[in-house]
Amino acid sequence: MNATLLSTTMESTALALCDSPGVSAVSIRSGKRVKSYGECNGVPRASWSLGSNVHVEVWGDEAPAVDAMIELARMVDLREQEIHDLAEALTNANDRQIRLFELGRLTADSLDQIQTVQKVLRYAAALTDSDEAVVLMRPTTSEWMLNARIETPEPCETGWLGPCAIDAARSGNLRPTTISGHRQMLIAEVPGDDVAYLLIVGKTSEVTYGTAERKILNALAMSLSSSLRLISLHESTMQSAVMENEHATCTALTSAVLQTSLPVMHGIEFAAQTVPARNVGGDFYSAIVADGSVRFVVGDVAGKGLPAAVLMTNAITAANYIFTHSADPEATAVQLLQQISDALEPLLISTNRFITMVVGIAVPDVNNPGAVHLSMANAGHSPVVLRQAGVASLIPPLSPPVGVGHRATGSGFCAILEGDDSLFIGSDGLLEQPNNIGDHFGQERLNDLISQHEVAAALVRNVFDAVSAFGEDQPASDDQTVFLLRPRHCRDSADVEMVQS
Amino acid sequence: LLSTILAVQQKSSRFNMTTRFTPSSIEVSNLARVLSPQGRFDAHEAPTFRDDVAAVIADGSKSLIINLQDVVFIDSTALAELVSAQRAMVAADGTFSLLNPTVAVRVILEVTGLISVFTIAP
Repeated sequence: MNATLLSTTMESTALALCDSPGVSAVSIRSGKRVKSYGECNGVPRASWSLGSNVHVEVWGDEAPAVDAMIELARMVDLREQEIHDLAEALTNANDRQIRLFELGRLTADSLDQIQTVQKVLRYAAALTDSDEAVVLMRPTTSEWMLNARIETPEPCETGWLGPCAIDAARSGNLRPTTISGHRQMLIAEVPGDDVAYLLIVGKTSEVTYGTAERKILNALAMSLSSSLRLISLHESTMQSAVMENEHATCTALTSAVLQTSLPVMHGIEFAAQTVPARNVGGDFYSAIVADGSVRFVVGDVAGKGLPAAVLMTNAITAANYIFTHSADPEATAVQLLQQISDALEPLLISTNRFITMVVGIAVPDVNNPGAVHLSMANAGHSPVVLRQAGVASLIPPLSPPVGVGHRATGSGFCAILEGDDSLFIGSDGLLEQPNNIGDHFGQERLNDLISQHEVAAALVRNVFDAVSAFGEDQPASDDQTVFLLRPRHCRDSADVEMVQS
Repeated sequence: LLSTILAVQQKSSRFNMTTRFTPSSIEVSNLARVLSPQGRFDAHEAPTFRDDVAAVIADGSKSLIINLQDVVFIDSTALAELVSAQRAMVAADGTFSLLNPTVAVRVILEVTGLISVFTIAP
């Protein structure tokens, strides 16, 4: 008991008693401190002690003095009870405050959904003085079902909450409910996206849930919602990381089929480069020396990114196999294109894709060093530019792209390259490169570049530099590829002998 | 088919072109439908176009016309969608044709050789 508070209460009560009829004086001694009200002469009519600290004496007529003492004692008892209740309430409030403080740290310490739900249930039961707590869940197209359940160590009665909660959830009645007897149930909705959750506590008690319990349960439901969102976000981030890793692996695998260096053949000069619009693309080129000639392919799979890249690897694999294993060493470019088309057509039709490609054969002329015999079959690829005697001309397609279902027929295109003649094969990504005002790089700018008298490798670099400079800040809208072939000029008699041999 | 195309040309001024693919389908006869892409017809528009074509086929239409009069740019992804749509219509015993390709689209169809693959009017 708080002695100071009690003393103050008694003093105010004693002061009031002094004015009562028949009471002449009142004296209160608390420890060494004595307070008197009125003339305290002679023997007091009545006295009363509270423990060893407080002693009260009353002077006056006998009967009123006794009545006054009884009244004083009643008042003190009343105050004592109030103080006791207040102290207990303060203690409980303090305990709850500590639990709520711990609740604030709930979301951060676990990314395991089962553990998190169990922890929230324990808090819900403890903070609302419940016997049992459950979480119900309802996936998008399903009924409500029990997700998790806990009961306190010494419950009055358990096992009834789950079925009653499911009945309440199905009926849509989420208000605090008294089931039967003294069974009480309190429900809070857990905000969520795809899956709905309910947090529910129950107890068997005469004391119904109040506003405080309702607020605590709602706070716990919000906390559970945040935790579940965090867990979901973490899981999706992990999945993204796994997919990103797999994508990077696929990118590396598909990029590996692209040639890093072109074959060397006396009398022919090559240069090529491909730059995908994304990490990996559908543009490709390949050149293989076989049977005294160079067989090459330059292509573009419709579309971009990894799907195009996977088809690109199929195209390169098919072309390289046919270039090196063709049964007929005298096969023409058209025949090689037909074989490649036959190999790829089923896959392309099933995936609704097509590939534009140029297949060519270049053969150095042994009787005319510095000249190259060229034959080509163009299946819908562009731009394919032949520059002869200073004049650039586009090579038209022999057939639609591979995968459309139209087989290439005819004899293809043949030419002899001499001097500064060259064959330039690009991809549409070069021509479609936009700049900041929406113009495209276009064929004319490309023709101007092709007219430059540079060595092949320098010319390829110049093309990419010019396209990049034209694009300013604009990213490439498509993969970009350049493949250049021209006669290699013999510089001395030794070169001539090597070409002739 | 020619009468259908002529009907489309006559009605084209009344098409609602507020968005790239609306109306996604216009009935010009009992069995023909018209899709009218606008502006850039590229990889971004391909999924919408594919869905519209699937809806036309599911609807039982036997003639699909792609009106290209308002297409200023077409890329290889969109061309692949046209080839795929034609293949799907033929598989459904239907017909497929391109209408009024702009110069930009016609050039692309020529350099890719696809001009010989499609029925084009005019």
